[in-house]
This record gives sequence, C-alpha cells and structure tokens, in this order.
Amino acid sequence: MRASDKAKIRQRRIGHTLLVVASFSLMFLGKADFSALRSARMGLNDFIAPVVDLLSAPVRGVETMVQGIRTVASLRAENVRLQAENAMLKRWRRRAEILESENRQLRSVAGAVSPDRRVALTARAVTAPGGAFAHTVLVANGSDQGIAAGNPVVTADGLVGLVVDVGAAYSRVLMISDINAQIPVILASSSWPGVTTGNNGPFLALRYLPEEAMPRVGELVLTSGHGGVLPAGVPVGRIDLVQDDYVRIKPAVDLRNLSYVSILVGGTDGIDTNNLELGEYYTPLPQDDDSRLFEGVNALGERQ
Amino acid sequence: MIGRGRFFQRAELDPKWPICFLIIVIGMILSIFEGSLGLWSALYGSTPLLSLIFLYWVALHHEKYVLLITGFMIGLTSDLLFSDLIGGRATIYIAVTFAMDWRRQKLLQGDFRDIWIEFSVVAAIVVCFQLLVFSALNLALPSLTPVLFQIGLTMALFPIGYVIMATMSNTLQRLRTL
Repeated sequence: MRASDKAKIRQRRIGHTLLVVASFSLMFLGKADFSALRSARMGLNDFIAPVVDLLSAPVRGVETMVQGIRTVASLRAENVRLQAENAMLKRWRRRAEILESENRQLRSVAGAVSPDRRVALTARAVTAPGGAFAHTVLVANGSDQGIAAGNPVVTADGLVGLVVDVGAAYSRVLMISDINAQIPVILASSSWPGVTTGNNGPFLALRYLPEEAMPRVGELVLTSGHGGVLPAGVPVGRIDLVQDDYVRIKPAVDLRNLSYVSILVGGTDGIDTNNLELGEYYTPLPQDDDSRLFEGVNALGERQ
Repeated sequence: MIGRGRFFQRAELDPKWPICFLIIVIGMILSIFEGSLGLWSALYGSTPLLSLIFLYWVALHHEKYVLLITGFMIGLTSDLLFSDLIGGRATIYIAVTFAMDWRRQKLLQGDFRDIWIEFSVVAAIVVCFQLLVFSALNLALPSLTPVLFQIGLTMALFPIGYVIMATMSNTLQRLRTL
C-alpha cells in the first residue's frame, strides 16, 4: 500500500471519528433541552415540513383509497351501527342539555366562574410517528397563528397531546402515547386521580392510583386539569385491562388516523421553557396526615 | 508542462461531486418519505428503514460516491423530523458506512444471500443501538413490538429495494453509454 493511500485511510478514519463525536454531542445537547437547539430544530422543520407534506401526498392518497374501499365493503353494517349510535347520541344530547342547565344554575348559586377561555384552532397533521422512539407529529400551524408550547391538542374524540415545539408555521405535538407524556387524569365514575404514561406503543399505562381506587374495564378516564396546563374533563381513553397493579388504557382517539386536530389556544399562556423555574407552574399539595395526594368528588357528589 | 497540467486539472469540475451530492439528497428524501409512511395506519410507529436500504446498497456498489457526511446527513434529517433523539440515527449510519469499508470486498465476492443476511444484521444493530441509547437517556424501555416490526419489515423489503436500485442503476449506466 502506498503512503498516500495510507494517509487517505487515516484521514477517513479521523473524519468518521469526528462525525461520530459530533453526533454523540448532538444527542446529549438534544437531551439537555437547550433552547437554541430547539429553536434551530423548529426552524429547520419549518423549512422541511412543506417537502414532507408534498411527499406525504401519495401515502395519504393510498390510505384514503384503502379506507374508501373498506367503507364501501362494510356500508350496510356501518349504516346499522351509525343508526344505533345516532339514537344513543340523541338520548345523550337530551341528558346533556338537562345537565348543562343544572350546571349553570349551580354555578350561579356558587358564584363559580368557568376558568376555560380557550379557542380551538384547527390544524392539519403533516406527519405521523415514523419510528418506535418518538410519538410526535408536526401540525401545520405555528406561532404566527398564536400557538404556544403547552397548548392542548384534541379531536372530537378526546385528547391527542400537547404542543412542545413551536415554529413560525409548524408546531410539534407530543402525543399522549409518547414515553415522555405524563397526563394527570381522574377516573370518570369515581374521580380517583392518577397519571397516564405512554410507552411509544398503542396503549397507555395508568399509574399512581390510590390504593382505594377500584378501576374497572371500560371505565372512562378524563384529564383532571391538575397542573393547569390541560383543561379538565377531556377524555383520554377507556380502561382496557386491569391486572394486579397494572392498569392499561386504550386512547379515546385513534392516534393512527390523525388528519386534523384542534389546538386549544389561550387559557394558559403556554409553557415558557426558557424561563421555567421550579414552583412557578405547579403548587405542591399540602402534606396532610391523610395518605391521599388529591381530593375528588365521586359520581354521587360525595367528597372522598 | 507538468505545472500547466496541474493548473488545468484543478480548473476541471470533478464529476464525482454532483453524484455524491445527489446521493445525499436522495437519501434525505427517502428518510422524509420513510416518515411519511407513518401516515399509513398499518405502518404507524414502525416504518421500514428505506434510507438504510439505500445507504447500504450505495456503500456496497458505489462506494466512491459515498462521502463521510453521507450517512450523517441522511440520519440527521430523519432524527430532526421524526425522532426525539437528535444524532441517534446519524451516529449509527456513520458506523454503517464505516463498517461497509471493510466488509465490501467479502460481500461482493459472495452471493445475494450473504448480502441479505449481513444487511439483516446491520438493520437489527441500527435499531438496537437506537433502542439502547434511547433507553439509557430516558431511563425507560419503549414498547418492543413496533421495534421488532420495524426490523422485520426492513429485512423483508431489502430484496425489493435492492432489485429496484440495481435496475435503475443499470438503466442509467446504459443511458450513459449510448
């Protein structure tokens, strides 16, 4: 081997090593959550997202076609199901109107003010989780439309996640199924509080339930509103499996089929990640002698 | 004369660079497309590593067009758009191009089965490396079903990708010789 070849090989090896070091540094810097890196990432996303959108068009077309074929094949069964659902929804609507009226009267008596001042902004999902290591989606609306980090993202079925990064025209949404997503929730029928955690799979786990709680399969799980970031009462999912201490939840929203989402803007000012200080965004609960961390009201209106 | 020769050689455009650049761009487009496949509900959260198939094939058959930063750029595009871990895939893609430098000769002397088996090992290592780093940095293990599905699907799609790229390469070669 000639000396020049040896030098070339050495140069290539040094180059490889330097690039590996650079990549490793990026990994740690990314994990350290530097605001400059986040801004750079969202800036790049704003630039690349239109390309992603363009390349997604054929995939979206195929998916729509497949869904269309499925719908045609099951049209009759679907019609029967929808009629039954419609009848049930009509009954629920009547019940909701009665409850709304009752709620309004009770609020006026108690002098309570509705804390929710959020406005829903519709946004199109540009991407979907492509890998097993992050469940995030890019949506086609950003700070130009008033979106801020921390804004909840929902569909008609329930909670999708919350905005974590905001660019000028695109935002990144952390889905409830992501391993980093932890949502404070309550069980709808008993009001026991807990926290759902994702594992980058199709289901969520319900953790930190008090020992007295008796979760049942099929029970609805709603956001509790603790922490003030998410509004209370948004459906997160239904309990799918209870096995000893492990409680599994099936998300209310079919996260695999996200086309459009609603971003709830306002209500909170979002999370300023540049100026996040301990104690500023949550208040520790008073340490009572009671072992329960939260208090709740059950479906019968009794305080627990 | 020698001096003049060198002067003019420097002035010439090296035809290798546009192809190297094109390979990076195609790889980046493939990694974007890979993410777009997630919109298909059947592939939600576990899309095949099309960019790895491309990188492996190019590194095997057209190594002179693979620059040091080729794997880095392709991996970084994927990381920036679809991953929580910026640099994770970039690191392992650099390692893949590096490993191909010393495995190439042996693979080219073998048959397609050897290439496929070696690719399967590479795909498994790529995903396992990401899994390892992800678990170490997040102190949590993600659901393994999508991870295994991603590895399996990538392995299964390799022969199709290989044939498509070989056909395209041969066609381009013929067009150039015309």
